[in-house]
Amino acid sequence: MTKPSIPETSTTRRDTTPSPEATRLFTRLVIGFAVLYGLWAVVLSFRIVVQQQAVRQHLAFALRKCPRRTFPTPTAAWAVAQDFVTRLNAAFPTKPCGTGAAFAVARSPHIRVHNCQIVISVKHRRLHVQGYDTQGHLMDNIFERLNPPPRRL
Amino acid sequence: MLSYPHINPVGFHIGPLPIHWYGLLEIISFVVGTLWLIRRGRRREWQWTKDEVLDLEYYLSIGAIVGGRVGYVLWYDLPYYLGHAIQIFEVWDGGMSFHGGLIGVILGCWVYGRKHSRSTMAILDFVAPAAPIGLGLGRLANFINDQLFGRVSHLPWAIVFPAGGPQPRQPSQIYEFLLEGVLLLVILILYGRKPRPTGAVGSLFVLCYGLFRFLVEYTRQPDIQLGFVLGHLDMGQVLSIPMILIGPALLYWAYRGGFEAHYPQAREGTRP
Repeated sequence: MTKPSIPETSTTRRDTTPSPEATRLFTRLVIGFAVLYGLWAVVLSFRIVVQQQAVRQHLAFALRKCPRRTFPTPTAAWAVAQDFVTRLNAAFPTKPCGTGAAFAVARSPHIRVHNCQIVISVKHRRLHVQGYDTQGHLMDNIFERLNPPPRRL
Repeated sequence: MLSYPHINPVGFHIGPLPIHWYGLLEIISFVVGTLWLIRRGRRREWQWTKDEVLDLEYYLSIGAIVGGRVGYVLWYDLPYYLGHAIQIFEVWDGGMSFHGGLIGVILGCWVYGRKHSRSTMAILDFVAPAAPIGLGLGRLANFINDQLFGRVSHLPWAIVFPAGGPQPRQPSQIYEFLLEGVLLLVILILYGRKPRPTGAVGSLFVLCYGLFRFLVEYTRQPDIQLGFVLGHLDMGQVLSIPMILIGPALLYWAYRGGFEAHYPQAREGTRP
């Protein structure tokens, strides 16, 4: 047996309409959520900008100072890379975020996450510099060279 | 790969004064948006006079500029501006945030509504369909200005932007123009053709913009001073998440009739 349908009247519609008090509460909840979220975003952004600025300076320095020549053997290149990293870590002992050293050689076996790290590797007997941002994403060396810190866009 | 159409950022000169495309497009969007709102206000369901629209535009402009700048300072580069406080006022040097501008516009609507006894949500419904005009033309201006380009890509339509180095990049400004400008305008116009509950059009704007922006950001180069901020998300996406969450909640409330003006007479069925 089908239920007899109740025709919608202004009375039944009004019953489902939120009261002004309910709307006021709803509005306050939405505004409260937006304000708290916005404040969290400010804190997040502040922390990230400070850390990213340090990473960008590390990357710019490593790109500027990295030996550009081709080494006679891969072993010689790795030795220079290791020495370069040691000197960089002595100059910038603080890693902007995460644990470990601010600079590392690529073949370090213990390195799993690279966030805020500058990694020196050897390819075709030459040294290569790679920067990783605060979230561990590879940074764009060309773009960073075009806009060295403290330049902003 | 497409080549970047080197468009001079300076459109023309009025005497010694260079007129930049960016400013020109902003003025065009403001004028077109205002004229459209004046025309829209004549319709029976809105009933806005020309003077009322112009007065409202004043509040919206102040809200958008102040909100946009404050949003940029707070969400995109606060450490820098804490050390260079005077530069917060140098808006001509760039740096505006859409999300801050939106909050400023909502506050502008609220202040106007308080002053002229109009519902904030009803005002947002009235102005929301005009917003994509400014947003879309703003993105075209970004393209002309060789700024806010996309990430490195090897798609057939990727473009080498002079300011982005030698690698081809996604023309994300064009995606944004098409989504936040053209598509959003079409959606809001089509949706707003029929009478909708108070707050529905404004809520749909919030939802659609949040979604479109969140998606397009996957192709856009993150701001250099921030990079990615939360895993694979950049700041534009982080700020769009609340829009995607709040938009449907506002729509739901609008369809329940929560934003309809409450008149005491309505109980007797004599709502004006």
